Amino acid sequence: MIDILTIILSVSVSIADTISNLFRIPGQLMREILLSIDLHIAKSLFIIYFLSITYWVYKLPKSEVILNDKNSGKDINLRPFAISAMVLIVIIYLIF
Amino acid sequence: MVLGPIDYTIIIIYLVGTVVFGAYIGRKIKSGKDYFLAGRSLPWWAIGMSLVVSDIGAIDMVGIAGSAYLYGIVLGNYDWLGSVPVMIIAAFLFIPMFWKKKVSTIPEWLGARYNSSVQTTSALIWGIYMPINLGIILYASAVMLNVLLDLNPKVLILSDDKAVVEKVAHSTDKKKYDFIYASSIDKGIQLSKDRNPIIIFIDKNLSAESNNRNIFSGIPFVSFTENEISSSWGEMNMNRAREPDWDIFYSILIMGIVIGVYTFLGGLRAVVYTDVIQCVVMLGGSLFVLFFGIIKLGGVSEFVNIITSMGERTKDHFSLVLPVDTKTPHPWSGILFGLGFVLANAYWIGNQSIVQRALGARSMADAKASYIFGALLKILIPFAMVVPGIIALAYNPNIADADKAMATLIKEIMPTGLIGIFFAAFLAGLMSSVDSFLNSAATVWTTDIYKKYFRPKGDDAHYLVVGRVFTIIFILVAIYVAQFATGFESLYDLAQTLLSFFQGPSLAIIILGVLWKRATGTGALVGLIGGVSFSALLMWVHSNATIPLFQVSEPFLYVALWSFILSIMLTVIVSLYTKQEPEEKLRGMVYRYD
Repeated sequence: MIDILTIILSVSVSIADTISNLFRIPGQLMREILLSIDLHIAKSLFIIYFLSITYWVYKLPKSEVILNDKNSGKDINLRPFAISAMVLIVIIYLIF
Repeated sequence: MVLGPIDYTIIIIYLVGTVVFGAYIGRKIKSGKDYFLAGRSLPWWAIGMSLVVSDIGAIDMVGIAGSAYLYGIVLGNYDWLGSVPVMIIAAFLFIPMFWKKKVSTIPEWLGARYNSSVQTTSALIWGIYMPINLGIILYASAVMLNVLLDLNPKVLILSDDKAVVEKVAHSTDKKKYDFIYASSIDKGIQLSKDRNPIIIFIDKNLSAESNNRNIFSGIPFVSFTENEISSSWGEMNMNRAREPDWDIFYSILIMGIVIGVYTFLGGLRAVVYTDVIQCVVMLGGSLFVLFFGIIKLGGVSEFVNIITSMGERTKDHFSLVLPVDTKTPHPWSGILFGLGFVLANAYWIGNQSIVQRALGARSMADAKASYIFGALLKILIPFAMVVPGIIALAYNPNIADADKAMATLIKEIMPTGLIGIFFAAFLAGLMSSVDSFLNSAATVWTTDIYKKYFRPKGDDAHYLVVGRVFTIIFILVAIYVAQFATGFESLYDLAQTLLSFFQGPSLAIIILGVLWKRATGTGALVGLIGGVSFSALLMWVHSNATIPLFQVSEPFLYVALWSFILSIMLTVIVSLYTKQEPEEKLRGMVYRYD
């Protein structure tokens, strides 16, 4: 019984090692690419991501951002609030 | 943390008030729709506040401050990157798609968009995960509660060698007991009078007097030499300890009953409106700590000066973007790609316990506005949760257990009464996350399993009864799981691992379902099952290979990312080889395809 368990264990470790080695080659390559990226460029990627969402909100059609509030009967424009939130995030990432 | 009578009064008023308020709201509930979706009557401001507070559990309140104590402002990424942008995207893109279909759950939407198999698979995944996680949250919160209230049984270790003290403490369960130390017999006697330990371990090297157990007036007593200590030594000797005055199970039971009662009575409406109170209390309590802390330090510039003058230890404490090879668990690559692109989206778009609130909105405008309002509130959260952790560092850079940073800070700076407010804030965090999971678990099991397979044509009042029965079952399951969760770290890891298995694949099929009309039911099913299996494979390889696959010990972010990518690929490939869903089925289900 113990022999069978030992065999299963060693076979599973071998399989895991083989798969791990297979994945590790592209993984290591990606890690090296990421390591070579300067921290300022990395920070720029964060800010580009935020700005692209801000731009997307800015370009949304009116029908998707201006909605009628059934209770008050008034139209609410959600775009300024969404853009304000994103602008604040950009400012925070520029500071820290 | 030492609470005074005023603090206890505030806490009791808060707890009783929450239950009474939940019961008051519950009196209007007449149907399953009222119970699961608050009769689709929730306003944007209530949902927005509920979204924010549900995201912050009691573990986070203590754990985030503890991590910020160690790593700094980088923890702010979890709100500023991990919530705000995604909530804006969800508000305009995903939430309207779910809301207009009038579904109660995400699996139900998947069933309408794809097919019944995808719905059931997704429902079973969430339905099994949520009750288990509920127990784990309850247990973890009880641990934090006991730490904050100083309720844990005390173990006194007497030794003049700090290394030996550490060895003894590590050989026993560090989560269940508070270890107190003394380096001399006299100090030990004084400590045993003040703190009433349940057992005393005494180093034979300390003094010949240590052999006289009478000096500790009946407290169980073990003398040892350094060579005797091993991991099993601690457990074996703890069996000789006397019964503690307060067991962690009492904490679990009290919290389970309080949360269970108001969720049982009031359903989603009670969950959301108690969350509103909890949001005010939590933000108020945390912001009090922020302002008190900074004022007492002498202002913002003085605070920054103290931290930056600590040298190498705090050089990154005010940086949100850290290098890939940082020694912290928060490299920018994992944060941006794993958290920002996958886990955050999966949480705000695909997590049933979160999205369910927006499904109960009284109008499309309210559903969208709730997420925008939530995003605006989320900007404040790092100031309320993360910065106090850094303030704690400025006050006391020598706290051994970072999870006690917040409690230590509160004790040092807050006057009596305000400690009670902070403690109520802690309870608010605890209750808001447990009640969300409880209500969502009951909703998924009633809507996607019971209604679909056992009684498709029952009346709405019947589903209300079933929902309440599930609520009782799940709170009992949670209490049961929680009291056996003494191996907390492994169970918590298990919950995180399970979540990372299906977060990525679930998100993949939701995104493709909303954005790509060519995505088919078969493709989604293959993508979901294939992605979950791939996650399991990655974790298995990581754990079993001679050299671990990932270079971090807890690779949840990376597992979620890769399983997401694989699920997208599988769903796209299989969809292209299978027949497109009928046009009439897709109308209203795919973005800008009405």
